[in-house]
Amino acid sequence: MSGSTSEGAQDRTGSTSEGAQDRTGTSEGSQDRSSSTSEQSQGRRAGEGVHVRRGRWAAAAMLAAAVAAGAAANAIDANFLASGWHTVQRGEEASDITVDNFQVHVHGAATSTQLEDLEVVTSPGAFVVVDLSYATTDAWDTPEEVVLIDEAGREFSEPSGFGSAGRVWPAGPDIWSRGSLLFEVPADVGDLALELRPQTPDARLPSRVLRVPLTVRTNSEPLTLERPSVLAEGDR
Amino acid sequence: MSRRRGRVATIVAATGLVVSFAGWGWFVSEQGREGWWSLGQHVAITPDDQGRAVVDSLSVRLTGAATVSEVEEEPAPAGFSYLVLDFEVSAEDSTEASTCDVQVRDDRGRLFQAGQEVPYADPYLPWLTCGSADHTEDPVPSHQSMLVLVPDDTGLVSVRVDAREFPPATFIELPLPPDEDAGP
Repeated sequence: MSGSTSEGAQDRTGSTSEGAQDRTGTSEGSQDRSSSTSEQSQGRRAGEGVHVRRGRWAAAAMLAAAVAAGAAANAIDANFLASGWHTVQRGEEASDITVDNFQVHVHGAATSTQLEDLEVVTSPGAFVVVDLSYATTDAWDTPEEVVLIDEAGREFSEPSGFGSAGRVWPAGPDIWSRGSLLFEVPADVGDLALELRPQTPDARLPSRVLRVPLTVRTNSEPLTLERPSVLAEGDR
Repeated sequence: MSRRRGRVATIVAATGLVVSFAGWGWFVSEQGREGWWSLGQHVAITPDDQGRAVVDSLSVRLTGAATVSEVEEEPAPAGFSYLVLDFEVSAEDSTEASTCDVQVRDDRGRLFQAGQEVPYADPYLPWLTCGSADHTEDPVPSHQSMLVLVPDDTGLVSVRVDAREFPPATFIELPLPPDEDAGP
């Protein structure tokens, strides 16, 4: 009986023990699961960390893009818009050059201290008369402005107080007109270039201007101005 | 969950950036867009069965178009001709004095303006009289003629009449008959 009890007890003990061992085994399984959960948790935290870092990088990139766009707009405004956003197209004398809707042909220029303008007038500096032809490509139009520019970047525009000749004139589509433009420059001026600005500068829109270096011959006689006239087809 | 929130935040921020730039572009280009539309020629008024094109109180009909090589012994430059345009104009209900610009369009889209580099001669005018403030003292002439300098080697397509008083973007376009745009 007792044996059986003992066995039974043993059995039970054994059983209990095994059960305990089983439970211990369960405990080991619990430790395994616990360590597995911990690793997963660490993995999730690591993954979240990566996403947080990615999110931060995305936010930083957008912030940088916004700052860069603002800086670029500021730079464009400071460097181009204040004086008109324009591109300088280079040309040369004795050739047809198209800038925007104008076709231009510069024949040359002459300088003298005297000008024949109803009567002979003398300049404290020098008069420069530019001989040129131009037409448009689309419709009748007048260049907004034509100026002389010297090596130092000084601009000389049409002088006032002279007759109506020597100013910009309207030209038609492929209807070439030839005339002369009058300028007055200081005596110490260096090499000159003609700059033709087809349109009114608009700070919001890009535009083109034409710059042609001039070969200026010196006249001992007073300069004269030619009124613009339409040329025969094919003439310049 | 966190990943999803991050994506949503990124999309919202990117969308906001794009919308902001688009709004800024639309705002700064407003004046240019309105000017392009209102000052340009985009809405053509064409003639009816009787050849009359009507805008507000003005009615215009092209009654003649022919090229000539000289006007009052003044020849056109070599390679060019003068196009003589005759109009029938009615503006009896107009209340203000106004003039209209006249241009001739060719098959290359070029616009040749009436009154530019043409002889000063009767009865040709550099522009059309399109309205009057006093129809008794200063009536709008019912028949008006103009000269246009045009190249010989081009196909003339239509006559355009335009004025600042016209509704925005509106102009009159009168087709030129093919047999009347030949050179001299």
